[in-house]
Amino acid sequence: MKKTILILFLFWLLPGAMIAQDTIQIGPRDRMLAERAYNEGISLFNEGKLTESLQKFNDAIARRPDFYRAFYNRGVVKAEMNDIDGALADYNLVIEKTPDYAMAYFARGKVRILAGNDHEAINDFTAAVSRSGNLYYAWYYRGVVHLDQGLYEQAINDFTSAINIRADFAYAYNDRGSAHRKNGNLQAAMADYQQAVFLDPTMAFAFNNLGSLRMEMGQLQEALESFTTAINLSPEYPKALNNRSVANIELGRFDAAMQDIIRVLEISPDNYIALTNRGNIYYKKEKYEAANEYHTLAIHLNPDYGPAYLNRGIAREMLRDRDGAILDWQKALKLGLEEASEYLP
Amino acid sequence: MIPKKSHIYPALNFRKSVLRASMLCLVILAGMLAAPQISLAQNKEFTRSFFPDDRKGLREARRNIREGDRYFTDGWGNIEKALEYYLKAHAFNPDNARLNLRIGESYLYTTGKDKAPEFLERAVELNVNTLEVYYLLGVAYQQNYRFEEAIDQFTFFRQSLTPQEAIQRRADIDRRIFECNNALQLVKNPIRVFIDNPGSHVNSEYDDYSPVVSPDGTRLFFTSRRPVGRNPRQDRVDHKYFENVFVTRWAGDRWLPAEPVEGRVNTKTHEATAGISADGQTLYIYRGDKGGDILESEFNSSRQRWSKPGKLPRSLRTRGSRETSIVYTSDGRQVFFVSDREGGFGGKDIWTSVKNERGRWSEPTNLGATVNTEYDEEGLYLAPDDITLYFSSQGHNTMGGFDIFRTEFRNGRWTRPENLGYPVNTPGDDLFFVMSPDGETGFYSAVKPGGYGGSDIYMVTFLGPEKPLVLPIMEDLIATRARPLRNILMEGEVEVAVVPMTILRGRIMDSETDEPLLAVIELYDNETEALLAEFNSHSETGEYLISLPGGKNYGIAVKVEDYLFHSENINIRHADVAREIINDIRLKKVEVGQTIVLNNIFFDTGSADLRPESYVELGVLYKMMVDNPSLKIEISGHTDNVGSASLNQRLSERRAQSVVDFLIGRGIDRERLTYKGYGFERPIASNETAEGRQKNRRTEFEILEK
Repeated sequence: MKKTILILFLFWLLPGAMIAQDTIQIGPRDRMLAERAYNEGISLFNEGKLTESLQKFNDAIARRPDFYRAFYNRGVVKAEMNDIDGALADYNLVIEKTPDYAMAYFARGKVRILAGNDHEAINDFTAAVSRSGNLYYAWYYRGVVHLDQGLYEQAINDFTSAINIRADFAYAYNDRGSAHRKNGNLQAAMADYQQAVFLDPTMAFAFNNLGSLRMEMGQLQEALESFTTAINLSPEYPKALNNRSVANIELGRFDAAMQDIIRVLEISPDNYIALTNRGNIYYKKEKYEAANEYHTLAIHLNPDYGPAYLNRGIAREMLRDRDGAILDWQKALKLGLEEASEYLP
Repeated sequence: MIPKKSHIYPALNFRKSVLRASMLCLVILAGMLAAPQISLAQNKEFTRSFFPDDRKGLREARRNIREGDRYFTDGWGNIEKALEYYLKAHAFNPDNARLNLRIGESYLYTTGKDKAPEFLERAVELNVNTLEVYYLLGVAYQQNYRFEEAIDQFTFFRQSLTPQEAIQRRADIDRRIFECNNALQLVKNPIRVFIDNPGSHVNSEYDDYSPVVSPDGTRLFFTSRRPVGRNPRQDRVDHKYFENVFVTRWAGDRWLPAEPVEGRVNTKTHEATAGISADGQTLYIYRGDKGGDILESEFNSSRQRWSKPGKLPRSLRTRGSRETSIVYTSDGRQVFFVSDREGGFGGKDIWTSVKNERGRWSEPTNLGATVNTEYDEEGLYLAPDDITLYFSSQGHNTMGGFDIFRTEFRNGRWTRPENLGYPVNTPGDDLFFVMSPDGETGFYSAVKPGGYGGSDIYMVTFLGPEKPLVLPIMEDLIATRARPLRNILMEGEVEVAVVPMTILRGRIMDSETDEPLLAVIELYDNETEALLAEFNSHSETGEYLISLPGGKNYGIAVKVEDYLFHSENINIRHADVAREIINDIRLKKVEVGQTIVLNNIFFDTGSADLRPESYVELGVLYKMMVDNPSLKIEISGHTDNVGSASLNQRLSERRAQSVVDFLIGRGIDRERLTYKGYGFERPIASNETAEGRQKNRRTEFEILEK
């Protein structure tokens, strides 16, 4: 095999051979080369080498213009490279030429989510599941769109369909848990999150969700444990670190809370949510100047972040800056934090 | 027993309270002196036996004690003077139980309450011979927020009483314990306020209290016991200056220095603020003479002065009783006032009266047991809604002394008074609460550490319930956004349809000199007769390389001018593996006697019929004959040794004839062509192997003439 490859290599190098290459149109050979390029494109994609992968699929298509799987995969690469239009063009071609290609509908649906066209995305996912009975991830993604749209019942149904096809699909349990939670069914959410982490105990984000749910249910100690598990799985996971900090604030353990939030800010110095919580810790420690300072930093990073205004107003009230506090609460109210209205005179 | 009356506000206490306290102190002292001097191992009496070497110091110390006792029994206002003498004696002998007791007790009556426990505890250590020390220690602890310890002391004291003493003291002790328990609850749930001292423009080193805010919030009236005029007079009871009404004005960012109110309000006796009308034009003044009554003073806006206070309507006055605080509803048709008149629940109560359509005030009625208690109620303030009444009381669930309460008149009755909460209320006296018109700031009077002296006026800003912080958490509700599902999209690999490649390479050289030749290499598909490609060998090295995908029967013709062409057959129609063929080709010059094997002439087995795939080679041969018209050649057929010689000879001859016939058929002159069959007489390879036999099965041509 190695020898063959060497020979082929020489073949490409020699001038005479180049002439032959240019002039000979050999079907089986082009087919073979197209398929090889196609497979290499997949390998490169899996290695994260998107540009190289794209080139391979381009080669495959150039050698074999009817190679629709290559078009499809090129669309996947383009989508990954955020070339939405390019990806859509490839998927559209594939669907036009092979209308029963379920995966193409699914992939196009995913791209349409990126394009912000949720309605058409749902149509594509629906087309995909109607063409293939085992596309559990098409059900899953339809559930994701429904969840985004606030259509929690539909989302729950979609995730359930995915689970019915693939009972060990931990993602669907996690997301169905989120849908239940949004729908106010905290017990069902708890069951799903627990099943998700049971099926895949490596999912730090699912432990994080479980922790935040437990916080919502007032189970602070258990929440703390969930966040700790998430952090053990992913020590640089800012969300879990932030959330464990919040749990510790609620438990009155301000030093522990500060330790986590400082870590978050080491990992992501511009994390305005963490800056807000750092301000909150200082507030709880009655260090109102420092609280004011960190909320101001958060606002500097995200001038539309309502919680920072609301919390800074609370800190400013304690600093006897009532006018400043009122301005902050007015801004918070404008940014949608209704509770600020209760603080305004 | 510590009296529950205030030692600061004369309008509240009157002389009886002070006298009662003084009498109590004397009783305690008498008891101490009469008690047998036992168990005083650590106690040092002010006697020569203890201080044999300092008679002068002992004499001075004794004198200080006598002076201290004199001031102590003289009244509230002189307690601090008493303390000065006691402390001098204490400096001489800190180990006297009675003196420590007296100093501790004195501190309880002054603003130095935080120092009281230390001296009382020392008195206990020195085995002071009175159980009263435990009660006083309980009070000291209560005043210093050490409520659990206070309860212990009160409980111990209660258990130590004789049955007869218990009858007299039990109610008070139980009340103290009740207050401490209240305090524990209230301190545990503090309200959110800022409490600020408005500063030296309002407060002084003397007692300042009973604030009253004008309806527009620009003036603050209050009572002060600071000296006024050239020869200010002191009250003989407490040895403090008489009360006067002061006013300070709000300058937008601060209060201006307070001054006595303009007009004829203040006199040589006690005048204190008692309230203000809803329109701010009438100031209600407590005047201490004649038993203590409320008067009203009108503001003359043209002269900017307050009139000489006049009496309230007769129905609101009672001979022999005291009224100290008053508020009117905003329409002026109902009045609430504090009075110790008969018919109440004890001490001073809150009463109300309503003005009828003819302008006559009804007979005052008591607000009832929900509001009034057996203890004193004081310091009224009616909120602008006319239904929320603030007042101070020594009853209800106080932390000790007066606390401020709020009650609302709803559904025809007053709600249960609600303690305003700690830290507005404290174990000390917290009194005279009023709200400013903005509804956010209040004023009241209290004795607090860090004040300007005695009672001060404090501003309280209510922050309301704890404002919950937004504690943002971060979630990954959607799994695929936390950890994208990438591998589900990409279609899998395909099985590559492998097309085996045959590489034919070598050098093209002159057959005699091995000089490299620049040759034209023609690649044919023998089946379709199509010319697939033309290559050139390298001009300097003669090297060539041809890549031949499988699936075809290739014919290769190598041509160089003045050389005989060379043909190769590469049949890889059924090849399933890649391979490399190295084939050096030596071309022969066009010369008589040269023979060339025609590798691409094909016959079926045992047949002399040319197979179609031979036509390419025959075409090359034909072209050579056309290009070289003088050329004469012999076509010869050869076989392997399989079969008989005669059969092979005939077959080879017939095959050679078929080639000649083909060329003649294409127009080559018959005279230029001969043919001959050699059978297996001229093998070029071994017939022992299949490969050799294949080589031997061949068609050649030989140049006969050129």
